[in-house]
Amino acid sequence: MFDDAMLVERCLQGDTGAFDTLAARYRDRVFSLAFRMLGEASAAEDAMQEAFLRAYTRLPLYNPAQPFSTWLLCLTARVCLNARRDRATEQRHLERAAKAAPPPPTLEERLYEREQRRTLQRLLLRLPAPQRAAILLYYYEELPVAEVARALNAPEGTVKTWLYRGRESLRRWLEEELG
Amino acid sequence: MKNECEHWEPLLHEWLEDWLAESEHAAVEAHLKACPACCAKVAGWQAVGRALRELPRVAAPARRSPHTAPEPRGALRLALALCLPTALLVVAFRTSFSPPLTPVSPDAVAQTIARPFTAPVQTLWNRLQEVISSWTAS
Ligand SMILES: [Zn+2]
Repeated sequence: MFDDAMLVERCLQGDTGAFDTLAARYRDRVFSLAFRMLGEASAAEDAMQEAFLRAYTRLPLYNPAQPFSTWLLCLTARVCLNARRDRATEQRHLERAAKAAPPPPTLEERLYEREQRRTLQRLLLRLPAPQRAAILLYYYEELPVAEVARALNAPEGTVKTWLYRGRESLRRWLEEELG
Repeated sequence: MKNECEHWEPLLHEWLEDWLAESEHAAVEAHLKACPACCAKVAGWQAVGRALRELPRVAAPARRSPHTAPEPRGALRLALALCLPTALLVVAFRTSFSPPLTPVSPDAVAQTIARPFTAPVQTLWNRLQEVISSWTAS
């Protein structure tokens, strides 16, 4: 099994099969982040395609000092943020996400934890996009603040404020809904 | 107490994330000890953080594979499929009309190939004879 660095190296030497391996390795992770960010499977799929395409074309710019996973996930977050700039599409996705959100209360769905997760996913979408991106990269993907700041092109202090505000909003909303 | 807590709130978050300088810890912790409301808030943030970390991964749908650059192995396969037969034809065609690279003694060839030939081989043989005569002529 090749590690990420070796696969990147092989890919840069023209072995595109190596990129297929990397893509297969990170598919679910990239899709999950996009899905958490955009709240809608088809939008997440588009973002995933775009993220892999960008990763492939920008691979020569990748600095191996950074873990490949960090680089790829930060790039995915940026793709999702850009996707959201298209206001009409954003509105459509949000509407679809809102429609998809109310859980049909089957017995299984009533399991507290799962419902809580659904609620959390829905509330994430209420956060302003940069706050949401920061929250997901930092808590969900567990990237360091410095990487999140670089990914979102914002000072670390700003990212820390987004994390604080975002988490406080989520706490308040969750308490309103579940408390 | 409310205004005071608003002042502490961002610091509490930094304390929870361990972003605060060591020197600031004592003051924040002193407020926490004295303030159940802020304690509850910090516990809430911890719960949110945990819930976010524990959000399950979502499997990417299998319908469309992640986009990578045009598949070169596919392209190579196509190129081979188209070019290889063409190349073989060209090689086969040309070898039957070009002189062999190493000169062969006409007697040795005549001795080795004494059996009757199939039609294409006969043609080739005749052609070889012509070539050999052209060498002997020059
Ligand atoms: Zn307080």
